[in-house]
Amino acid sequence: MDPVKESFEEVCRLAQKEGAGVELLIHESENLKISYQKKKLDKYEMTTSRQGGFRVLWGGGQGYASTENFSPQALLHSYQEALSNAKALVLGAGESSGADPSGVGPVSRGESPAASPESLLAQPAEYRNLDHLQSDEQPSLEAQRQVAEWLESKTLEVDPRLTHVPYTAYVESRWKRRLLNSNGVDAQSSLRSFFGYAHALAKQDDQTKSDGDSFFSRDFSKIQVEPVCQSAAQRALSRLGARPLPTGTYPVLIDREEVPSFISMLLSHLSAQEVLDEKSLLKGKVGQKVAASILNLLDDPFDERGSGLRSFDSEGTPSRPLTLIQEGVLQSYFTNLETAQRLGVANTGHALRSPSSQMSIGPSNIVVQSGEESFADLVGGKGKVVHLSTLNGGLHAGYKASTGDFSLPAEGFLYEGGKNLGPVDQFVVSGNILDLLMKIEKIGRDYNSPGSNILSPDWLISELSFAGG
Amino acid sequence: MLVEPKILDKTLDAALSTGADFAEVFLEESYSSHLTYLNRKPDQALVGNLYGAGIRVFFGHEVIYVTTSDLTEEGLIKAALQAAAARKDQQLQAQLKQPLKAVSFDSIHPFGARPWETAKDQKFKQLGAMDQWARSRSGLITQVQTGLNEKFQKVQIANSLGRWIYDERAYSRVSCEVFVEEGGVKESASEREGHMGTAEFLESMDRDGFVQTAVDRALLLLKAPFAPAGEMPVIIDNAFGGVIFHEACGHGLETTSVAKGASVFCDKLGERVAPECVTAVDDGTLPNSWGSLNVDDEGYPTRRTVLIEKGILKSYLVDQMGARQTGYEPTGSGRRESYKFAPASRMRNTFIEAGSDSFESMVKDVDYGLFAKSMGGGSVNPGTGDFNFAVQEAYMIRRGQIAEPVKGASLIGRGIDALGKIVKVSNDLKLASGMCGSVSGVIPAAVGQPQILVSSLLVGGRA
Repeated sequence: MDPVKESFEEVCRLAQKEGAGVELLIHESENLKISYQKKKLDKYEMTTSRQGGFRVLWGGGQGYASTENFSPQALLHSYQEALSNAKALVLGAGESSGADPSGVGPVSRGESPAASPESLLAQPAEYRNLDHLQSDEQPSLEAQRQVAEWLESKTLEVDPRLTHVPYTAYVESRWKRRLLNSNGVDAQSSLRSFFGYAHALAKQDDQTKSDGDSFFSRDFSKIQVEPVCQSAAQRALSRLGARPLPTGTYPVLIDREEVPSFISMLLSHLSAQEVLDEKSLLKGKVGQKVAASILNLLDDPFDERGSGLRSFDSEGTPSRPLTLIQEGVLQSYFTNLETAQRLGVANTGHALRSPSSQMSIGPSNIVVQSGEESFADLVGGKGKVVHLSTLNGGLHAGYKASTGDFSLPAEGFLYEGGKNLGPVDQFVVSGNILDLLMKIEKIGRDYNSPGSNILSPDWLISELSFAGG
Repeated sequence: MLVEPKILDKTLDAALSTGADFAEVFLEESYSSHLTYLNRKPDQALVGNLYGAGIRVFFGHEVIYVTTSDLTEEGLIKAALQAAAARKDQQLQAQLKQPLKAVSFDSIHPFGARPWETAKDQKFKQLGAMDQWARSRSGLITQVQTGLNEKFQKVQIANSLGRWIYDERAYSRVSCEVFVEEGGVKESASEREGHMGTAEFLESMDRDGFVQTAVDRALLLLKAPFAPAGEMPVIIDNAFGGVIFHEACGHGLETTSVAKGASVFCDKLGERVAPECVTAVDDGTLPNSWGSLNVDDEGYPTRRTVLIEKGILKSYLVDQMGARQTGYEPTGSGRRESYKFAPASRMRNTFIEAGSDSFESMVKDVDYGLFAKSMGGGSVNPGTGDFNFAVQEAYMIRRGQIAEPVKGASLIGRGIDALGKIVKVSNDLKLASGMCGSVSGVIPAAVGQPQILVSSLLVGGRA
C-alpha cells in the first residue's frame, strides 16, 4: 500500500472513534514557465507543489487544515487540526444560539438537523478515464525554449510599430488530483497542458496600445506558434488610432473572448450555497425565464477544449454534463452533497475546492450553444454597433456581485452598416448582468480560443449604456 | 532557523555548479488561519501550512527559479542541481560563493501571541460581537459576514554573496461585509483593516466604528441613484483613495515593468511627472504597517524610497535583478507571496505625502464634480498606463458643497495624465491595507494619501 493511503487509513480509524467523517484532497503540480525578452532567455521557472487538505465532519461542523508535509506525523497533526476546527465551529455555534453542543445539531450552515458525516461524503463510484485526451510526449528543453523564444520574436517581426512583448511565456503544466474519504473513495486523475501567450505593445505617435493572444493544447506536437504571434500583433496594431466613444446607448457585439467575463458574473448566483446564504440573485428562479430564449447554457466536464476538464468533483462525485439554462429558462443550480440535501434536489457534482480552501461550488466547463451567424453577419445591421473587444482590468474594477450591476472600462471598435469605423477607447460600459441576459439577440457560430473554462461564441446585445468622451 | 547553514552551503554550491554568477535559497514555513462568522455563528475555520524552498540563480540577466517542498539536504541539493541544469548547455565553469555570514537585526515590527497560541473561541467571540453590533444598527440588514485572516511566516534567506538571514513576520486582517435589502433592492458594503502583527490589534481597534462604516455605506447605497457619466473634477478621499496612485503610477515604477520598457515612466528619472504639490513615497520601514518588512524577500533591509519629490521622478522600486538590468541601486523592494514565486520589485506602503490644503477648501473649488469617498478594486496596464477603479461610495459636488450620494461610478484614465491634473493635496494623510496581485503573487501592501483634487477625470456611470 502507498504511504499516503496507509496514513489516511490510520486517520480514518481515529476519526471513527470520534464519530467523525474525514476526507483528504491532494493536489500535485509541476509547472514549467519559460519567457524571453529582447530575444534572450529572461526567466526559466520550474515549480513543484504537493499539498494535502483534510476536511473533517464532526457534530454538524466542518473543519479544514492543509499541509505540504506528507510524513505520517504531519498528516496526523493536520487531521487533528481539522478536527479541532470542526469542534470550534460546533461549540461556538452552541454558545451563540444557546443549543446543546453535545447534541446532534446544529449544522454549520442553516438550521436543519445535522446530516450524518457519511451522507456528506461521496460513495465509491466509477469515473470516466480522460487519459486518451492527452499526450504522454515529453518535449526536449530545446523545443520548449524554441516555442518561448518564437512567442516574442515572431510577434515583434510582424510590424515595426510593435516595440515590446512585455508579457509572454510558454507554460507547461502537469497536474494530479487524488481524493480519499472515510467512505472508501480513492479517486485519482491527472491532466497535462501546454499554454503560451504573447501580449505586445504597439506605439504610433503618442499612443501606446497593447493586446495579445494565446494557445492552449494538451498535446505539444499540436502547438502552432505563428498564428498566435500574428493574431497578437494584429490585435495590438488594430487598436492604434483609437478615439473616444461618444456617450450613449448602442447595440453591442460582445467579443467571444470577453463573453466569459460576463458569464463569470453569473457563476456565484448559480451556486446552491449562495442561494442558501440568501446572496444569489437567481434564488427561487428555477423554472423561470432568466434569459433570452436564444440562450442555452450547459456545464460539460468532458469538453476537451475547456480548462475545467474533470472526471470527478472535489468531493469525489463523478462529473457529468448538466443543463443550466434551456431556451432562456433556468433549469438548475450547481450543487454538492450538502447543498443538494439541504435544498432537496439532486447532487450535480459541482463541489469545488483546493486543499487549502473551504468547500465551495463551481463549474467545470460552461458551454454556450452556438448559433448560425458569422461575425460579419452580427455587426452587419443598419445602425451603429459597438464591437466590445476588451474589458480593461477584469471584473473587480467594476462588478458588484450582490446586485449584478457592472460598470467596466472597455475598448473596442465602432461599426456602422457592417463597416468598421475604427477603434474606440476611454469608455465605460454599464448595466446589470440579469438585464443583459434578457437582451441577447443573436449568438454567433464560432467559439473563443480553447483554454478557458467558459466556451462561447460572440453575443449580440440589443443595447447597453456607454459613458465615453 | 529552518535549515542548518552547512546544508545551505552545499545547496548554493550545487546551484553555482554550471556557472551561474549568483545563487539564492529562500526557505519558508508559514502558518495561516482563516475564521469567518456568518448566519450569526462561526461558519468557517481553516488552517494551513506552507513548507518549502525556492532556489534562484542568475546567469547575467537570465533568471532560473526552481521550487521544492523537500527541505532535506538531498531535496534541496536536487532542486539546486535542477536550477543549474537549465543552463548547462553554456558549458561554463562552476562559480565559488562567499562564506555565509549571519546578518542579525532588531525587528521594528513587534508581535504578540502567535496565531496558534490564542484559542479560536476567543477570536470567534470578537467576530460574533461585530456581527451583533452590525445587526443592531438597522432592521434592513439581511446578512453579516465577519472574518479574521492571520498568517505567521518564518523565512530564511541565504545567497552566494555570503548573506544569511532569518526573519519572522506576523500579519492579521479583519473584515466585515454587510448585506441590506429594502423593497427588493439589495446592496452590500464591506470594510477591511489589517496590520503587520498578531490579532491582539482587534482588542484596541475601534470595532464599532469599523462595523458602522460598512453598515452606513450599505444603507446609503440602497437610496443612491447611479452616478452620471462624463469628464469632471474629482476629489479622491484619503486612506484607501491612495489605491489610485498605487495602481496608476506605483506599478509603472517597479523595475519589473521598467526593465522591459513596459512602463510609461521609462527614461523619465529627473523629469517632471507631476505638479509640484505631489511628493510620493514607498516606505517599508513604518512600524507594524501592513506593507512593512524588516528585510525584503531577497534578504536586504527595506527602506524609505522617495519616488516623486515635488513632482520630479526620483526613483524606481528596484529588486536585485532589476538593479542588474537597469543599473539603479536596489531599494529593498524584492517581494513574493511565498516560496512558490520568484521575487520581483513590488510596492510596500505607498502614499502621497500630506500637502497644505484643507479638504473644505477643495470642495469649495468645485462647481460640479464627484467626491470619491470609498474606492473599490482597480487595475492598470503598466505598458499603457491605462487605469480603472470602482468607487464604492461617492457623492456629487454641487456649487462647492457635498451633495447627494451616487453609486456605480468608476474612474478611468491614464496614470501620468491623471498625476499631471492633481491641483490640490490636503493636509490629512491616512493609510489603508490592501492586497496587491502581480507577477510574484498576492502580497500585503498599504496604500494611502491625503485627499486630492484632480481637475478632470472620466467618470463612468450610467449614460
